[in-house]
Amino acid sequence: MAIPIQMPSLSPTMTEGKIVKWLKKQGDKVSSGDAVAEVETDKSNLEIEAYDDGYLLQVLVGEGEMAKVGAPIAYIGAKGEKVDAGKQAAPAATPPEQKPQPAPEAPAPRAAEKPASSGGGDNRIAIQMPSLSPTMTEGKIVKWLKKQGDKVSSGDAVAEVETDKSNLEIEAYDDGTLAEIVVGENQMAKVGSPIAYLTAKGAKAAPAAKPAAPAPAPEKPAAPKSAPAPAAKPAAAPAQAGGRRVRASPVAKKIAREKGLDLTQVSGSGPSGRVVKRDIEEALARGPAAAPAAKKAPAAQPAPGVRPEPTVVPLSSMRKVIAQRMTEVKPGVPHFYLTIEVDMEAASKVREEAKAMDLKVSVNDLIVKAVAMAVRRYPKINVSLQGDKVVQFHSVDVGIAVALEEGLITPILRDADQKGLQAIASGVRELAERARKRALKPEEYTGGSITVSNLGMYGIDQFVAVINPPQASILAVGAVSEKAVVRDGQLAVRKMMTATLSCDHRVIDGAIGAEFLRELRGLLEHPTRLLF
Amino acid sequence: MPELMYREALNQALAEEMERDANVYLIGEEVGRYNGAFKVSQGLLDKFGSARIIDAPIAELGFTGLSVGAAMVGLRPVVEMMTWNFAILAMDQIVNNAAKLRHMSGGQLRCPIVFRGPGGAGGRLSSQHSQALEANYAHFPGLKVIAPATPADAKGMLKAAIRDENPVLMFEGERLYAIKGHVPEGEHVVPLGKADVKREGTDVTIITWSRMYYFCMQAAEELAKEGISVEVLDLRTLRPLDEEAILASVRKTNRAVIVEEGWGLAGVGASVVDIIQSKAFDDLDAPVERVTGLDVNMSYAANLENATQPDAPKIIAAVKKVLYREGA
Repeated sequence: MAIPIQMPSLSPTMTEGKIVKWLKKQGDKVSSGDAVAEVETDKSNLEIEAYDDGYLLQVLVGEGEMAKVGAPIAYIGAKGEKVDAGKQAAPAATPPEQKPQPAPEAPAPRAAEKPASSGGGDNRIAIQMPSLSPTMTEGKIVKWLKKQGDKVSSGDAVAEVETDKSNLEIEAYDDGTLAEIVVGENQMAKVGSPIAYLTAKGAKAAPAAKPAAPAPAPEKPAAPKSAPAPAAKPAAAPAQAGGRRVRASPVAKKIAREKGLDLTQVSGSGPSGRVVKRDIEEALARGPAAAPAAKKAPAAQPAPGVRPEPTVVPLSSMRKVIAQRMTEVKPGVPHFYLTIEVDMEAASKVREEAKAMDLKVSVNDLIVKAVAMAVRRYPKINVSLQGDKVVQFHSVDVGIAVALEEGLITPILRDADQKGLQAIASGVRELAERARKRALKPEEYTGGSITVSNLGMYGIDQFVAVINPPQASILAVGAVSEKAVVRDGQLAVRKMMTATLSCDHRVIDGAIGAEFLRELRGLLEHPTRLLF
Repeated sequence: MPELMYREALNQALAEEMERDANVYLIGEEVGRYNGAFKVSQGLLDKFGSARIIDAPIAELGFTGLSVGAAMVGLRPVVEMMTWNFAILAMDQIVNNAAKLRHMSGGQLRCPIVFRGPGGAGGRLSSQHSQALEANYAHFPGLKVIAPATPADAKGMLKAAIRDENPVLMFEGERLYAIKGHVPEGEHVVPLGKADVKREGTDVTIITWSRMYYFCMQAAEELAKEGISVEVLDLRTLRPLDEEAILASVRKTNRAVIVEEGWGLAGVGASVVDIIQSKAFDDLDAPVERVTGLDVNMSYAANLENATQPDAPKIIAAVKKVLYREGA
C-alpha cells in the first residue's frame, strides 16, 4: 500500500514549506533515511528524509510549489504500485504562480465523483454546488429548471443558483435522468456538496438513497411570522423570551411552571426586573386574560408603552460576504488616504459638448476614463498584494462601485484606458444595469486594478472609501459643486470636486498615490489630454 | 411555671441531673467555693460536696483531659469553661480525644461528657473575651454543639446533654445569664438536634441561635408593624443541624435571613445557606441573606462593640432586602 511522505514541521513557526528541489525522481528506489527533497521553510532550507523503504511512486508537490505542514507531498510504495485515485489530489498551499485575474470560466467542478454513500454500486452521479465566485462558500437554489425524472443532457441548465454576487445557472456535465433532488428551492448548500443526483444514461434508476453528507439545513424564511404561534406548550420552560433570558426567582419559576403561566408576560418587581413570587401571585389574581399562557401573536397591536420588538432578517448572501470581507479588510489592510480638489470646469464643458452631440457622457464616465489613463501612466498603482507576492497588472481594468438594495458590487470595465468616452459610458451603464439584475458573470466582478466609488449624486462632498481587495486602491469621488476658489490672486467661482484615494500602504507608498492623483487632476482639468 | 434566669435554669438542670445520677460531676475554675464565675453553680458545692463540685486550677488542658479520661471509664463529667475563649487551650483534648474516642476505639469507648461555658460578646471585655467560637467546634465530626437561647431551652438541653453518650459542647451567651424566662419544673428535657420555631410567620424566615435570637425577635416585632410576617427559627443545636426544620420554614416563606454572632467566613450560617440552596433552591424567591459579626476583632469600647455585632436594625435591613422592599 502506498505510504505518503508528508511535509514535516521543521520549525516551531512553520505552517507550510516550499519544495526547492526533488532529490529523487518518480520510480527511484528509496531507503529509509534517504533525503528525498529539499524544502525551504520560513527559516532555512532543509532536507526531508524518507521513513520507509520503497519506490517513489508519485510526486504530488512540484518544485517551487508550497505544501502545508502534514500534507502529503509524495507517495512511496512497492514497485509498480498504483496510488489510489483519492490520494492524488495535490494539496498545494498556494499555487506556484498566482494568476492576477482568476477567470473562473468553468465554474462547476466536474460533477462525476460518486458520493461515498450513494447506495453502493448504483450508477448515480452527483451534481454538486459549484463555486461560482472566489468568495462563494455556499449558494441558494433559487429554482430547479428540471424536475425529478426529467432527462438531462450534458450542458443542460438544471438549476438557478443565487451566489453572494449574482444568480447563475448550473449545468449538468453528464447525460442521464434527474434521479433525486437533494436541496430544494430556497435552500442553501455548501460549495461542493451534492444538490442532486443523476442516474447515468442506460443505467437502471437506483432508489433514492440519501447522501452521506447531511442535507443542508433549509434557510429560515426572512419574513416575520404573522400567524399566531402554533399551539405551543404553555410555558413549559419559560426562561427565554425571544432569546432573552427572563430573570425570575426559583420559586417564581416553579409556580409559573405549575400554573402554566408564561413568565415573559409577567413584569418583575425585583432587582433588574426579576420576576418574584408576588408578581406571579398578582398575575394569577388578575386572571387568565392578564396572564395568557400562550405568547401573543407578534402581529397583535402592542399595548401602549410597549416598545415594538425589532425585526430580525437573516443576512443575504451578498451582505454576509460584504460583512465578512469588510471586517477582514479594515484591520487587515493598512489604509492611508490622499485627498485632492479638482477643478471640473473644463470637464463639465466636455460633458455639455457631448450632450450637444446627443452623446450621453456622465461626469463619472469622464472620471473613469481619467482614472484609467492615470493608472496607465503610473503603473505602480496597478498592483495587488497577494500572499507574499506583489502582482503587477498589465491591463487597466477599472471597477465601478454599484449600490444594490442588498449591498454593493463592483463590476469591472476591462481595458478602460483603451476605450473612448462613449464606449466607457455605454460599458458602465450596461454593467451597472446587469449588476442591478444580479446577472453579472463572475469574471465581470473579479480582479481589477482600481475602483471608482462615486457618491456625488447624493450630494456628498468628500468621503473615504474602503479598499476592495485584492485591489490596492480605491478612489472616492464627491459631488461637483460651485465653490469660491482663488485663481491668479482673484476669487473665482469654479465647479470643484473632491477625490480621495485610499491606498494599501503595504504596496503603495504616499508618493506613488500623490503622483497618480496629480496626473488624475491634470487629466480632468485639461480633458483634451484624455484624447492622447 | 416559674420564671427563672438563664443561669438559674442551668443550675437547676445541673442539680437535677446530679441528683438523678451519681456519676455526674462538675469541674471548672471557681465552680465550687466561689459558686461559679457567672454563678451557674451557686449552692452546688454545699449540696453535693467537693468530690462532685470540683474547683480546678487554671489549667484547662489538664482538667479537660482528666475529665475525658473519667468519661471513658464511666463517669459523666460536666466541664465548665470560664469562657469558651479559654477552652482554646483545651482544644486538643476536646477535638483530638473527646471527639474521636468512640471512632478510634471501634465503638468500645464512650465519652459522655459536657463542655459548657459562656461565649460571645461579654460587654466591654475586648477581643480575647468576646468571641463567638461555636463554628470552630461545629466543624468536627464526633462533637455535638448546642447553643440554647432561652432559660427553658438551657435547662432542657443541658439535661439532654448530660444524658447523651457523646461529647456535647454547650455555648451559653455570656450576656444571657441574667435573661429571665418561664422554665418548666422537674423533668424537662429538650432533645438535641431539634430546632424550634419560636415565632410563626409567612413572609420570611430568620434563622438564628443563642443571644442573636433576642435581636431577631425584636426585629420581627418591628417588621410586624409594617405588615411583614417574620418566622423566627431558633436552631438551638448547631451540630447536627435540623435540616428538616430549616427546609420546612424556607419552603413556607420562600426567603431566609441567617443571623449569627460569630464571623461570617466559614460560619455556621454558611452551612445553613448551603442546605437551603442545595435542597430548597426552587423554593427561593430571593438570594439568602446573612447578618454576621463584622470581620474584625472585637473592640473594647461599648459603642464599637455594639457596632461590630448584629442588631435589630441590621436584621430589619436584611429582611427588607430579601423582600425587595424599599430602603433595603
